[in-house]
Amino acid sequence: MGRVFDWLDRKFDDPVRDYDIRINSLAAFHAGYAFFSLINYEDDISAFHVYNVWNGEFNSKLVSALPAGGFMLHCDRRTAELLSEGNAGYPVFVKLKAKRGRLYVTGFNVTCYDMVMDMYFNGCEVIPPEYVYFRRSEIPDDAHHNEVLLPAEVPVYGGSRIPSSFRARGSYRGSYFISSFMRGSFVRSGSFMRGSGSSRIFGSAYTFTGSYRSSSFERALGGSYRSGSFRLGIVSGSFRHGSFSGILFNGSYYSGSYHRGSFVYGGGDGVSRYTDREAEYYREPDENRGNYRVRRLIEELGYGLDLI
Amino acid sequence: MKGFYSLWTAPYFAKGGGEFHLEDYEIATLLLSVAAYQAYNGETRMYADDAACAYLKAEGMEDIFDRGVVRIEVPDDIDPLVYWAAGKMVALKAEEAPSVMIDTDLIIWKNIEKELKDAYVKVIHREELNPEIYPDPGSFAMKEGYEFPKSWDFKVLPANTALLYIADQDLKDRYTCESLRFMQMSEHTDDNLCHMVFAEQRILPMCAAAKGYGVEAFCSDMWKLREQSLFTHIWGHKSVFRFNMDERRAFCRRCIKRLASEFPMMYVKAREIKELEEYLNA
Repeated sequence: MGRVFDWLDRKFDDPVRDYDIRINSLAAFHAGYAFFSLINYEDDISAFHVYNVWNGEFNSKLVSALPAGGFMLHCDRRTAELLSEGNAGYPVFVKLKAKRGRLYVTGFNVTCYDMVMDMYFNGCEVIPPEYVYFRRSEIPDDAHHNEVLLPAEVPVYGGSRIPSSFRARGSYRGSYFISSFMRGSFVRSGSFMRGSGSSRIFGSAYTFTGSYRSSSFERALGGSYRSGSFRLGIVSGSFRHGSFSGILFNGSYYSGSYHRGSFVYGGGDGVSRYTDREAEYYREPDENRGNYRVRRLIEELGYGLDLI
Repeated sequence: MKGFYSLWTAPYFAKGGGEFHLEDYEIATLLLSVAAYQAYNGETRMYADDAACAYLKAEGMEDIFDRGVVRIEVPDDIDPLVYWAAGKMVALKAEEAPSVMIDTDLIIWKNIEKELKDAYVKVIHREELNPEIYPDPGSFAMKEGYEFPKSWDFKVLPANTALLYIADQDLKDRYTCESLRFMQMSEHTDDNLCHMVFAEQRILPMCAAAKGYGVEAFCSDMWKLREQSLFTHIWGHKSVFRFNMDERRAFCRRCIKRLASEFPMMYVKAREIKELEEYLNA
């Protein structure tokens, strides 16, 4: 199957310098979707913590694959409410940088109607929105028309201190396996082919067949995530809209148990880390709670950086 | 007081990384760390495996260590994905005590000899026994024949070894030997946190306690790390540099500026390193 982002590869006869110049001259392009929920909005600092789903094929080409969490953008409350409407993701455009033949993202922009907002990574926590849909974009772009996004070529592993259960592959389409469902369990497996596809959900309440392209929601995926199989990623959730002509998810990024109320934040090496605040809160002895939080904060920020 | 660093590339390759490289912010931090250590404390050495040695040579960084670069070989039966810091243990085993082991992302800004006086073992700080990170050792699946030494007290608090000073050769040998033995004798696992920190951070204070030594810490409380003026530790902030190019650029420029103003010899070396090229003319 063809790859959409092959053009980001350095060819064998492509000198590093030429490759760098070619990449550094590129305009920004669409590489993922940003999801917003007002629960992630901080009025005090007018900051929105953003949950992102990246194109897996694109992500696998970066030196460090981008995590789902850890990103922030600043906007006023009114804009935040606008972004949170509709539950659909907004396209994220990235500007690439190549250095000695290696690929990095040097800028992130989220587009919403006629607005273009800067987004940046600071490792902040984000609660994944309950519903995650990929909305059909008005803007033509490669990522959007990529019907089959294959699993990442290279597995993306967690950082050195990330438990292995959070290892991931970065890809948001392709073969997948859905293992649980909020309103009754179902199991689904299979893979979509470009342009057409049928799917069947085996379970107590939902059976589904059809083409997976629709006018309103081209890619849809339900929401409150639960456990995952490491290989392909898992999603489960309640479908808010009764009709959409395709369901699909992304598998990737993570596995492991995941509960309502969990947070995802950007870990190292492009893997999002999850914490379950409630569980953590419940387990920690009172006298230690403060220490653990201080520890985590210090670890994430480092210390003495102002001494340089 | 002599100090040393280590670079082990096997975890990088095991994760599917291509040609080994250090990112610009890693190089800038290392240069500053080495320069500051040499200026305030003493000679430095790098322990590196073959790929790291080749990389340091190719980048022109081989001669920044005044005690040279020494090759290390980590035993094949240690899983680099689980025990990603095993290189540190092998380096420590090869180094003669007393010595200071320094992580490549840690900078020591002052002379620490006074602080090391009278200490047998000194680390940057102690850790809480959080059961999620430091579970009951009985939960580790070990190969047949392995037993935890009876002298170990599992209630002893772990020690963070981003910086580690060991004065006693016997203790150092015992620690590295037990740590590597644990790595080699553990059954296959996908966990790359609890096993690693047990081998690195718990075995040390338990071995020390068994010998009757206390483990001292530069910072008695975690929160004091934010107030101290002795160390810079990039630690988890590397993930921000990984995905935030503005921060990365600002950080690298700050490092280069500091090198230029305070460590001119190292600045000359920095000028020859291609990875830092874009910051030198900024």
